[in-house]
Parts: sequence; C-alpha cells; structure tokens
Amino acid sequence: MSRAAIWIVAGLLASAAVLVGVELAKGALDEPSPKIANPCEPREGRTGGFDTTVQRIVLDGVDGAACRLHTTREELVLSLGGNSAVLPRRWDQHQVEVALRAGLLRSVDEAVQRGDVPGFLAPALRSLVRRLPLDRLVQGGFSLSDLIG
Amino acid sequence: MVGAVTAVCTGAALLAVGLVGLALLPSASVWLLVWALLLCGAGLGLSLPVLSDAALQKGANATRSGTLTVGARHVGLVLALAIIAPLLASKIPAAGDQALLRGTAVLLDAPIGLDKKVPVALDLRSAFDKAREGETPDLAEPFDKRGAQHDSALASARDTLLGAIEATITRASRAAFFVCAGFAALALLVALLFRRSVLG
Repeated sequence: MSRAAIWIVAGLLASAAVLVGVELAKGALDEPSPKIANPCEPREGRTGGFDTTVQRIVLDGVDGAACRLHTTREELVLSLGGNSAVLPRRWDQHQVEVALRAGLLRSVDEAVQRGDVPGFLAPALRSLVRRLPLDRLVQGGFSLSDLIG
Repeated sequence: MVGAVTAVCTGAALLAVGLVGLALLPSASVWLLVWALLLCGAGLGLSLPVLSDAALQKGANATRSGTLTVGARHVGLVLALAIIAPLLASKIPAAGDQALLRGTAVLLDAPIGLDKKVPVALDLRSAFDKAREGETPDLAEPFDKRGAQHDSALASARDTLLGAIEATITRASRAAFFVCAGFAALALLVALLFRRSVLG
C-alpha cells in the first residue's frame, strides 16, 4: 500500500471515528423527540384567553384520566375512536368515561387554584363536565354560552 | 499495489465504521451520512475485488470455481437476509405504534384548537390501521382536509408530526445496521485469521 493511500485510509477512518463520537456525544442513541410524558407528573401548559384555558383544562383532565388508567395521554386520546389493530384499547367505555370525568373535575379545581378560571365559574364548569357527552368535552366543544346557559 | 490482506482488512474496517454511522440515523447529521456512505463505498471497493480474485482458481477449473464463488455469495446473501429480515419485521410494528404516539404528542402540544387535534389524531390512527393492512398511508391528508393549506399552525403541526413519525420509523432499522456492522467486523476478523492460508 503506498504511503499516500495509507494516509487517505487513516484519515477516512479517523474522521469517521470523530464524527461518530461527536454524534454519540450529542445523543444520537437517545430516544427521538418528542418524549412521551408521564401523565401523572404536572406539565407546563399555555395560559391566556378562553380557548387556551379550556384547552389546558381538557388536556390536564386527559392527563389525570390517563394516570388513573396507567397509560399515556396520547394512547387514551387515540382510544377514544374505539378499538383498532394499532394500540388496541385496554379499557371499556365505562372505565374511560369515569376516568375522564374525574380527571376533568380535578383539572377544573386546579385551574381555579391557579387563578386561570374565576371561582364563580367553577360550579358551571363542573356541571358541564358531569353532563356533556365525552366527545364534546374532549374536543373542547363547549363555549361561553354553555357556561352561562 | 495494495497488499491483499491490507486491502481486505482495511475495506472491512471501513465498511464496519460506515455501517455504524448509518445506524445512528436519523439523529445523526447529514455530514455523518455522507461520510458513512463514502466509507461503505470505499470499504466495498477495496475488499470485494481482492476477495473475488482470491476465491477464483486460475487455470482449467475457472468455471467450477466461478460457479462456486457465485453460489457462496448467494448463500451469504440468503443467510444475511434470514437474520436481518426478521429483525426488521420485529422492529417495524412496534416502531409504528411509537410513531403514532409521538405524532399524537406533537399534535396535542401544538398551538391548534382541540376541535382539530382530536379528530386529526383519530384520522391518523385510521391511517396507521390501513398501513397494517398493506396500504401506504397518506399522513398529511387528515391535516390537509382540515385546512392546513391556509392554517400555518396546522401546517406546522403537520410538518413536525411527519418529521417525528419519519424519525421513529427510520430508527427501527438501527439494530439491522448494527448487525450488518457486526458482519463487517466479523469479516475483518476472518481475514486476519486466514490471512496467510487464503489471501497470502
């Protein structure tokens, strides 16, 4: 092997080793983002405006329900469409309903404690959580008029 | 001229390192990808001609040894496929589930209304269901039919979600690349062990 060829091959190998090392140090073997969060731990949510507040209440409520069912928020949301071959549902409709309503009621209380929702609106919100169909609740399908009326 | 043993050993080493680089996708940079492919090409280019030459017996038995060489290559190919294909097949369905969960996580965190998030997530699940039945899913369609062309937040969520899904699925081939790198390292070991009897 000529001296030039040896240098080229050595350079190729060394630079590849450096690149692989840098990528490993940057976390190439880590799980890709986004990580699936633990629903039992609190997470940051957006605030400001009626829609944003409703959305935070619903998503926190889904987190609470997922925690009760020992699953993730994502799997619980996907299971709302019924059973399927992908991620087969591990709960019946009654379990989902109980867990979701409980999660949402707790989420309303937390929103009041944070000051995102005025205290006088809390009873109306709790009433909505108890009586509205689940699909409407989870899709945030209620408005200010529902709260007032 | 490059010595036969040196060429084969260097080629196998280059190939092994290149395959390790490819195994780091999709997290790795484009430079690593280019470098990894270059190493794989250089490794194959260095070792294959020497190995083919060593396998062929010169003289009257050239046809016989040529047939044996081609046969041996095919046996190797089939054996490698018998190992890699089940590995990939076992990783892809789980990666599909993970991809759907990650895509849903992107969606739920996106700054779009709940009235779009949940229906799009359920449509995505249907698309993954179809993929299990052998159809190619159109993952952008649930977004596009809800106005992603005119809604920049929805379009951004779609692009982030597609990236997350693609990354998760690509990652499913990581173990297969590592196994291939192991084969290349094994080839290096074999070349070193038999350097005098076969290549010398």
